[in-house]
Amino acid sequence: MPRITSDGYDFDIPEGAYSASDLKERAKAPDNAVPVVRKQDKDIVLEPEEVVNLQSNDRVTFTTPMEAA
Amino acid sequence: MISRSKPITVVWKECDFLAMRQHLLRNDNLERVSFVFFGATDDNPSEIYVHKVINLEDGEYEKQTPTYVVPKMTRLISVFREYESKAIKGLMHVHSHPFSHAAEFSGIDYQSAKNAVGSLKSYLRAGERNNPFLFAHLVIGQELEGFSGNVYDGTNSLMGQVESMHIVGMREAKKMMRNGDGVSRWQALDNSEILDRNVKWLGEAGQKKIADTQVVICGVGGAGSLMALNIRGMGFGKITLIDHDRIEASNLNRLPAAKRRDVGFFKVDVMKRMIEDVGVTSEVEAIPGRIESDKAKKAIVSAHILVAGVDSFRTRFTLQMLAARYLKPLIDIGSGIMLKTDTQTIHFMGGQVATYIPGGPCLFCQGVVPKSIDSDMITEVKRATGYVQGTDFTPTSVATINAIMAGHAADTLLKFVTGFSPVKPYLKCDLLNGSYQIFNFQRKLSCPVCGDEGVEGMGDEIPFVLPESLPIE
Repeated sequence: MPRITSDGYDFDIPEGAYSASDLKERAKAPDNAVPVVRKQDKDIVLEPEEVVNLQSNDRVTFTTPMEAA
Repeated sequence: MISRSKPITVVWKECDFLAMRQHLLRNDNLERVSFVFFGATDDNPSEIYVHKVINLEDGEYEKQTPTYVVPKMTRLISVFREYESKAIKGLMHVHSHPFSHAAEFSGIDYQSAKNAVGSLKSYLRAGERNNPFLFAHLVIGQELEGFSGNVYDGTNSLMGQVESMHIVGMREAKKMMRNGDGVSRWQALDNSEILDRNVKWLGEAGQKKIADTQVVICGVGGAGSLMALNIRGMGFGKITLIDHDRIEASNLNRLPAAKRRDVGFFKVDVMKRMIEDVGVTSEVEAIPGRIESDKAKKAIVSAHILVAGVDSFRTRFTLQMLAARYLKPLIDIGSGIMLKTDTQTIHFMGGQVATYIPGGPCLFCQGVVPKSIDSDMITEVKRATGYVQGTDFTPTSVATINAIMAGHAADTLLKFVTGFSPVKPYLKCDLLNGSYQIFNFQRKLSCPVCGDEGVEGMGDEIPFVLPESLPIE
């Protein structure tokens, strides 16, 4: 099963098509989080309008781009 | 500019010298004045001897700013009266340049020195003054060796320049040479000794690569200044610092080398001083302007590698575009704290170091520059609130996070420049949970920056416009 690993979250989700907002909602990720899909050791940023087909062994995580302070 | 002439040493008692420096270089950054009565040998002296120091107190100035000071006339007259009552040869005017570590006379100073003796004579009562007398003009900066001075004879002719100070203390005597033409004694230290530990780590070949490299640090706030700190002793060929901001009191918790008296001055100038104090970087350039300025762009285009420590996605976007067009590797630092909206507890603290290497994924493909770039107004809000994200901004700051992220960025820079280890393109650091994550992002073929139809290597061939797919607001 595809798996979401995020800050404080680590759980499986069913295979299928997901948008960025779907994934953020499931992970309770903040608005400015950027979903990253890992397929076979390659990471791809999921654009807001993009839909990804998640399969077994795929992983989803989130980055939160920070600026310098 | 006055030409070089005879070198003159000023000999001080340590107590007088230290008290005068303490008076002239207080933390409030204001210029101050002292007068010195001095003796000398009768003919063509190479040494002058401090007899008495009069430090003008704060109520004794007509005007007093960080770059300008005018004593009250009544106080000047009282000093002149005391001087002429003494059978001593010389009078010295000393003032401070608290903004400078290696003081040089300013244009105003040269103007006022032009006829200082004539002016002084007009205040001295005729017949009560031994002729000829000597007049000296001295300016001191923050560094002990940071002084400049001229000695004039009674006709206002330059007799010599103050090249050294001899300080006679209770335990020892010290001689300080003037940092002539901005070159201080530490710069005479053997660089190979300073760089010895670098060479042991990186080898002669690695050190040479560093010496051949020109780095531009864009943004010298909390992260960029620590980047400058990290690489100040590496021996780079050139470091250029770009930032239009001036130092504020609230920056002092995280800007290395910034002192209370630096508040109000450009960050780049203070960081330049910090790098030059180590003295192994061949050239340091400070550009107190925006990334978009012509001077900054020119520096970026002529650099070998860029480092970004910027607090606006808009600036990050601009840098990424320049990096792609002119094929410059770009190391980008981000750090901060995110609060949970509902509970106001910390959701994330940490940051990322993202690296763009031409041919690889750009910062857009790494998700570092969001599709909707925030406005400068929002950046101002973030500055005021301490760079805490969340629905409600909460003041704090991120000094410790900056240090960690700037350390990773410096490590990435050295790996790239020397080639001793492959660069990790994206490192996420989660300081709340104590974990690191490395991403292996892929370049998107459709990316308008690094994709097949992107702008990489286009140089000046294309006008600088924002692609429609990357809305600016």
